[in-house]
Amino acid sequence: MVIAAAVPAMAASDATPSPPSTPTLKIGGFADFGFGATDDPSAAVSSGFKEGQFVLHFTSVLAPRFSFFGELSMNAHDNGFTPELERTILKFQAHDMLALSFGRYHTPINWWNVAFHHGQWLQTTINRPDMVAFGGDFIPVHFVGAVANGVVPAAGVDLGYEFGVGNGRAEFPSRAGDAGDVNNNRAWFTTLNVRPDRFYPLEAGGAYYQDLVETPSAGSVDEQIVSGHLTWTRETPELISEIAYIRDRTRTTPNLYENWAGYVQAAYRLPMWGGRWKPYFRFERMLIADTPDNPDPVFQSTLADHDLLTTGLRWDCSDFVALKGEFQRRYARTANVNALLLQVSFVF
Amino acid sequence: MSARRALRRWLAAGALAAAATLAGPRAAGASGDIAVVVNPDVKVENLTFTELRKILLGNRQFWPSGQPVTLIVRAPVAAERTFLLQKVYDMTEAQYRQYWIAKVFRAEATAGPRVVVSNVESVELVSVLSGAIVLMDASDVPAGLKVLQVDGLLPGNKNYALKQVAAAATE
Repeated sequence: MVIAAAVPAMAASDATPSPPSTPTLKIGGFADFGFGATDDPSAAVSSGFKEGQFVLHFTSVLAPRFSFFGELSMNAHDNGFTPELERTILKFQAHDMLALSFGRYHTPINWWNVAFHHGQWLQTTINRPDMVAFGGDFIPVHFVGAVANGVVPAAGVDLGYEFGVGNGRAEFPSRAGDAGDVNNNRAWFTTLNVRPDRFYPLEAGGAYYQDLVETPSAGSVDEQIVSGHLTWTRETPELISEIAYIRDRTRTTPNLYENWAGYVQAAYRLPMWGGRWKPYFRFERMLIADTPDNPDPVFQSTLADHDLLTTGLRWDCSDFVALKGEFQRRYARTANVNALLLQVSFVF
Repeated sequence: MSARRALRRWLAAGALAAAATLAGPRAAGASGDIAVVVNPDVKVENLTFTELRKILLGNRQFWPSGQPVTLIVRAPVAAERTFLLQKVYDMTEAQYRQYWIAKVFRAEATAGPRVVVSNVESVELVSVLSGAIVLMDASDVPAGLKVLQVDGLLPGNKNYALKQVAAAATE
């Protein structure tokens, strides 16, 4: 095994057409560091610095059509750091129209989850939308299984599709059944996205996901998720919007729980000062079946209705380092909370 | 590929590169136009501008024959790179770097384009790398290289899509 260039160098490095006699491993990474302050009365500490995620990516070409991708993160906690194997994907790319892969993924039923997930430097904002928050329960962020995907050109558009079968949610809804499924029902999803040639880089898409979730309080729950997105990523402007609907139905009692979440984000890279400044704004809304006497058993009262306004400014002080300042105001049933966040994020 | 065949291909590439350096002769002609040069084994003669953009963006990673595409891109400040970013990618240099980092991060590609520092190196690599494609100033393309039509036109034709002057005027 040979360790080669880091990710930034990949933008200016080699794409070997035929693999060498041993796999060539390339490593890249993301990291971030931040400061936050809040007026949340329930917070034990109202301000402080925070070590963000330290993420390493591993890519390796195993054969002309076989490749491996791995992602490892280190997450800061009160008593140290915990490693997490975020993604491991072994992929066979037969053609543009068909690739088969196995492993642990970012569930592609959410655009942000796939486009940015652990790349704080990649995303415009400091925080991700709450519907795909780190460790959040709303969308099943990870997926362990097998996926087929491809792109089919048709009548002036590129039709992208994905179909996956996997373990689905584990007993903790944010986990993905890494060591095995919690029941004998597989989760599955399918996605479809459209990229019209005439409106590059516009993308619109939708997804459907189905799983049988095992919950400690209500037993088996049939879960269905429908989501959609519309993105324009040119940066002048950047527009990203997503919506997701989750329906959970318990099997032991005929209870139906309906949950919605969505956001709209707009940003604009200013043409002056070298194009390095980018103000942004995002509005989010989450509507959860969270009545105190009968909450959705999948979320186990970890989520609640709220709106969230985010506005900030990103400064790309170099091609690979970004400084961001962000103000958030959260409107919740219990209290409205303000927060100020600063972050430096980079790729290496 | 046998060692003898590989040696022949590299010798041929060396000869083409030498021709580009010494003779400077101009198969595609039309200074100011950007030629789309591919390895001779690519079984394509014409691309639409949209297809070309998808290939250069890494959104098409295979030729219709099933052969993998190998992207070759000039290093920054070369006229061909500036043209590529302005006319094809519609991105700044920083956005281009972020684009490829993101593509690798999403596991959509294993690496970014192969970078070369001169058109002599472009000639050398595109001649030997199977499925390779590179943009070059048409006046730097030596005789013997395969140049693709774009929207049915070659460099030098009126209304050819990849004209540097037109790009500079419109961007």
